[in-house]
Amino acid sequence: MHTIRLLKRVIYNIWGSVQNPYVTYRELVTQDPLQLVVLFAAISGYFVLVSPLKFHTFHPFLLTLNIARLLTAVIFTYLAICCLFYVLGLMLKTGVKLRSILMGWGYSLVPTLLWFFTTSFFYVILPPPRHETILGRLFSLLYITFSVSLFFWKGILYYLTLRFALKLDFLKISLVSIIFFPLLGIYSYIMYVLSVFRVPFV
Amino acid sequence: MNNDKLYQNFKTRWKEVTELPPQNLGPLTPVYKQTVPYLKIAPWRVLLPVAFVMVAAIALLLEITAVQIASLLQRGF
Repeated sequence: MHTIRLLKRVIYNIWGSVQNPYVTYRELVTQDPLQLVVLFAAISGYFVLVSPLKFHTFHPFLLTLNIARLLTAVIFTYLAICCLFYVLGLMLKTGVKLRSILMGWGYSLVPTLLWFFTTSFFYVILPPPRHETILGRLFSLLYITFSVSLFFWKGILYYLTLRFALKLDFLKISLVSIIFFPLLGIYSYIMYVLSVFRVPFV
Repeated sequence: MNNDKLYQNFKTRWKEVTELPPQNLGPLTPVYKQTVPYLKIAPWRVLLPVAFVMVAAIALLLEITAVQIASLLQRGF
């Protein structure tokens, strides 16, 4: 019963972050962080499904190793970003609560997961490269539009996380962003060089 | 009883409104206040067309084609 209510709450929040992100985020940063278990279970499920495709093997040992590596990287990234926001919130002397940041940033992984899942799906259905035909160009335009829209949605959820979890105004959000984005860029490069993620799962 | 509930609702709403600092972007504040309502409710209605126009504009203006970018992105997972 509790599990069903939890699942319903997660689905309601995901839908709310699409349809009404402002009101949804204002509420969800004060909710039960147990919902994050559902989100990370979905992320784990994605990595279990996509690992044979990504690593071109069905060997159980290799798959387990790579799934563990990817999950560790995602959880480490998530916690590192939350801690960074928490420290920045303390430095800016706002009424910051770690639970709110965990919830806000956790739900901002939904567009990321959606992009990764869609990209993997199209990798199977329509493997690259695309060609300079009418259909190729049309698909490319639609796919990039979809990717850019998800990127904007992620940007909105990032802003709402800082607004409601850290209680920052626009100027302080800009200051946090000036610190956060270069660090994220360096971290993403390290992930790329280590062949963990080409596009960072943040 | 009703007054207690009303008062509790009032207190909750008051806390909601006062705990966040108001947004102040100086001279850009009116622009911000006009733009934000479109992003608060169903932002995909604005994001999807804006993304499409941006992508089409960049595809037309830059030498690198949408096909090349899509091929690169598809390997990004």
